[in-house]
Amino acid sequence: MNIENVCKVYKTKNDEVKALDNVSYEFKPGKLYAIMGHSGSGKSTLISILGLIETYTSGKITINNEDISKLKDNDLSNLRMKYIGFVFQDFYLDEHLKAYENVMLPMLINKEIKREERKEKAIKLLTDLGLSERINHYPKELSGGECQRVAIARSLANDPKIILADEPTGNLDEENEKLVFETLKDLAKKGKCVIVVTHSEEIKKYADEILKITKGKLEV
Amino acid sequence: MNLKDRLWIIKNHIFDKRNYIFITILFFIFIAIFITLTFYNCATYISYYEKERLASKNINIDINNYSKEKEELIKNIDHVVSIDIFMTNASYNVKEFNSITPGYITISPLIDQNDIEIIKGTNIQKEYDMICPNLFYPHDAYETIYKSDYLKGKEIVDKSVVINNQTFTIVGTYDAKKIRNHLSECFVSKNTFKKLNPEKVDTSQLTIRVDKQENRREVIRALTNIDITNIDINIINTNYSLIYISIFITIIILFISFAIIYNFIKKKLRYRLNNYGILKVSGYQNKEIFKLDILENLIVSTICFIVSAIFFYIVYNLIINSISSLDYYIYTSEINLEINYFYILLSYLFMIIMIFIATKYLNYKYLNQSINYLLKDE
Repeated sequence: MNIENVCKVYKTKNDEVKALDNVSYEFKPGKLYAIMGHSGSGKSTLISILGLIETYTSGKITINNEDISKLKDNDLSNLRMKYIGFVFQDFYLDEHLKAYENVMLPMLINKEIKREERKEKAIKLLTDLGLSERINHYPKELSGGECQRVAIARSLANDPKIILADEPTGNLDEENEKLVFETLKDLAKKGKCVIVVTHSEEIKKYADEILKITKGKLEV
Repeated sequence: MNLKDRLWIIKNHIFDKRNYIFITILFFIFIAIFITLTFYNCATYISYYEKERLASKNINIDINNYSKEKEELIKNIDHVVSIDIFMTNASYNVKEFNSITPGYITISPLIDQNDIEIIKGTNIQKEYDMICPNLFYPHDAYETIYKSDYLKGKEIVDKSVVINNQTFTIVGTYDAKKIRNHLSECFVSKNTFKKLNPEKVDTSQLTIRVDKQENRREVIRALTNIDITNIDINIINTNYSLIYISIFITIIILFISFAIIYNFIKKKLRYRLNNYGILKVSGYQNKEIFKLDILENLIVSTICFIVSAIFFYIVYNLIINSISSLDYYIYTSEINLEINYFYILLSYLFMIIMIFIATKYLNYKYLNQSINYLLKDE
């Protein structure tokens, strides 16, 4: 994923806020990137733009050498399905679905995964993340760390090349935080491009590259 | 994503507590709509009472100042179906279908076979054929009416009735309410009636049968133009006020229903915005999410419709059947309290349209926001 001179300006009634100021970087597969900065520095804006869930004011973003700026909403949805998995601080699991059913959700729109294969694949993803005994549990029956791992499994459902995590350990204790970072590190080792936004200094033990963002500007 | 997959997602959300509330709200909305539509059906029936009566198609004229030539002129007037000697109906005490129970029926001559709608059996073909109401109560209105004494359809056809030592066969049944006849009024052919009841034939008057009640005025004008002046005008007035009131109430109910449904679907959608945000992050397009939403709403509303329709049918009939004073009005066809099933289905269709419009608009309004907005909305 390549971003060139990306700017994001929020316009209010009386003012303009420049959340991102000419940010450029190339993210490569097989690495864990950590984006760190103070509150309001633009970290979440950056990762939202990278995840194609937020628009940007100017600049260029390419994924797999494809310029996404001219793509329509439906095309962006397809790109997200194919290439991007997202993990959030608040997990956003569906409380009415069991763990494996939450993981299966993104597979329903992926024509490359047959119906018969979905459940098996979901269970394998959960097992790989150490959740073999929690497959049939609902989110309210899981701990915070378990919920986050289910969310990670869900982000892997369509085998994306890029994993984006926005404060994935924000609601977790130390032990679970380590577990999540280890999981993300493993994914990077398996060839995925993993980008994590976090306040936690613990990430420094796992990240291949640390990017600092201050007042919308990216420092390597 | 195919229908099976959508149903798989929805089945887990159908039992969400918000859907229980939705079902309860819809239930009461459906009941309110059913009641207003039944009232509308009744109001229309009552308002059109005079217009739909068979006698409303008749114009009676005095036979004085009458000639064969005038008869030809009358026959040539537009909308005139037939001319006949004036006949009134006749009442008889009969044995109810050769049983011991005494009965009482009224016989009228059938002027035009198109006057009545045959429900079971056939129309009059032979001399001693008779047609009776499909809901038949062969007794006097002033006797106590018991629902269990009503005879229906199959119980009537092919049965015999003896009048003046002549055996009549009931060959068919007709819809008495449609022409506002009492539920003891039967028909025989004109000629048979004249033979049976010569005293009921008034040779001093003629009855002119018009094709529709609306055309009476025109025919009366044409009669006066050919110097026929002794006309029993019998002005028929239709009072539309009940209809207007029922339409007004129905429209109010529908507006209120839409407002309630819209607000509820909006609350439900806002509650699900996080879920829909995640679906969008995973690659779901807006149209897929809309299909999920509308399918769930349609399933819920259909379940509710079926439950409320059954409930309404049972409770409504229990109430109607328990009010004994209604029996007289039902017997005399002065009132129609039947549920109009077409209107019930129409209310379901209207509800579907309301839900579709509300869901479509709200999905468009919210799902076109940024995904961050969907995820962070509380």
